Amino acid sequence: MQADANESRNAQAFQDPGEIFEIRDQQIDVEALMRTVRENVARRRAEGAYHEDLDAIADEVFKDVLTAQPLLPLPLGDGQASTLIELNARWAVREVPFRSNAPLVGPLIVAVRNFWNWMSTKWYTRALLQQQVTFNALVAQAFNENADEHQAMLEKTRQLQAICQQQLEEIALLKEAVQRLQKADPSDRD
Amino acid sequence: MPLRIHQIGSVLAAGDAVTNQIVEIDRRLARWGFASQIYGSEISAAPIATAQLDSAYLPFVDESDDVLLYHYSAYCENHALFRRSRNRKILIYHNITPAEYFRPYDRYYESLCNQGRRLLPELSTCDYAVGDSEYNRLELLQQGFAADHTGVLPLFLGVEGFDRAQHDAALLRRLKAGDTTNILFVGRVAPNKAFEDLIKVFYSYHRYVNPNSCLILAGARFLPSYNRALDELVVRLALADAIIFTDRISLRQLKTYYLAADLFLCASRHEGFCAPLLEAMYFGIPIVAHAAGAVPYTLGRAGVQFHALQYDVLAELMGLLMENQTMRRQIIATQKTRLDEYAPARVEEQLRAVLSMVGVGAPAEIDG
Repeated sequence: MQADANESRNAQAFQDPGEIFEIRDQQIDVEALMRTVRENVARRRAEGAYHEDLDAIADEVFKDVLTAQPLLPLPLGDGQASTLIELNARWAVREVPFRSNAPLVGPLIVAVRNFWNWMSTKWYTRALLQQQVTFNALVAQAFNENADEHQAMLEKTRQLQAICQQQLEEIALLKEAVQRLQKADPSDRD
Repeated sequence: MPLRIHQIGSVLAAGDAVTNQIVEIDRRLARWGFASQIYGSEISAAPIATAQLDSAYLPFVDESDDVLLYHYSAYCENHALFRRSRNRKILIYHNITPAEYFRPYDRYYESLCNQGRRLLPELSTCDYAVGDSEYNRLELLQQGFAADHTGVLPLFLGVEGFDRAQHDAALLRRLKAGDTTNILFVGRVAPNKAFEDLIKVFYSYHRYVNPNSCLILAGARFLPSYNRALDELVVRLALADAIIFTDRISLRQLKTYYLAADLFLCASRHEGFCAPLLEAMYFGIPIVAHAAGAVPYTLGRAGVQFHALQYDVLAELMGLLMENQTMRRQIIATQKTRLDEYAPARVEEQLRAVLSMVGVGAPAEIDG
């Protein structure tokens, strides 16, 4: 929505009709047409026309309507929702840098430990870590997609319930109409 | 024993462009002597008496001589049949709307579109794939389909239905009463078709150029939150008396709206083909359309295309298209020329060429 609104506002900056529309038909004097369009726009603008910011009006209307009736929140229990948030935060496993709180010799310990890790295990564990991250990413994606689809189905169910309700009301009205017709004097029907 | 050619689609519904294409192809295949059969995941189109539910295709799934045309326009579980099939397989891609258009309004449609797009690369293991526009074919390439195994098969313009249908004379009289100028758009009320932009352009035209005008928006309304926003916008701009949302309509009513229209306005931000453009050409209505998605491919050199939404310029342009009869006639004439390129005989040739890519030679036409 926002991107579209920006696109529209950018469009407002165009002054030359030639940048706005295009006629590829060579039989039409496009230059003359654009000149007339330009003159008409200028004349009517001078008369006070075209002053509204239609994009801003539409954005406001759409925002109001969509805020008044937002899409359903994630249809998961509190526990499940927090697990999903946790999963999304933690799927990308990273190496934890080694730290030492020892006074004075701390930086030396860190440097020695880092060097030892680089020598002994880094190149071996990095490949494993990458596999784990790939797997975690797929799991997180699958869970998120399932949650999205679950939410979509719930939204659809809500829509279908609304349609059912509307149809039940229509059926009730039709029943009343039929009953009225049945009670009416046959001569009234002509 | 004639060669069996199966067509599988998703929901087969009256008035739906993909369903129409399936029916048009079926008619040609039957005429050419093939044993043609249509299947759908749901069937709600009365005219397709012979259509069957997709499960009826299962007995043919291992027949390597059969041909399967799979129409892909929405995520549908029957993609499993296509992937499992050992027939000679052709994918017909009608495009899937990018999911982000639905995100603010409906999570279900957003999810369907996402699933549909995600699945597309997995359908590339077919013998040949076509888009119904060059735009759609290019999308197939982006999704990993091999260029030399892709082509274009445009939609058949099924005008026989319009020719047969009797227009609604009373409705036409009402629409033309007082010499009202009618601006028309045809398409389901979906966010990718940017109905809010149609309303904004029309507002400028109606308010400053021609107050004796009406915007007819002919298409099914199926997204409650989008509908509410559009209705509210119409009220806010004080256009309630000048805009008609028809919702779902019959072919007879649609023909009447086309007959009443003075200009066809399309503001869509995404279209896979936009069949109503061809219908507007058929009815001789000048087109002003947003050059987005497949629209430039469908229009070619015809109509007027706009690249940006500058409402004053578009309103004045529409005014001039109504006034200047010479220009109007020229635009309509070029549109007719463009329409000839979609003549059924030409599309039939393209259908034959597509079938030949999987080794099927369509026999010569038998008159009658």
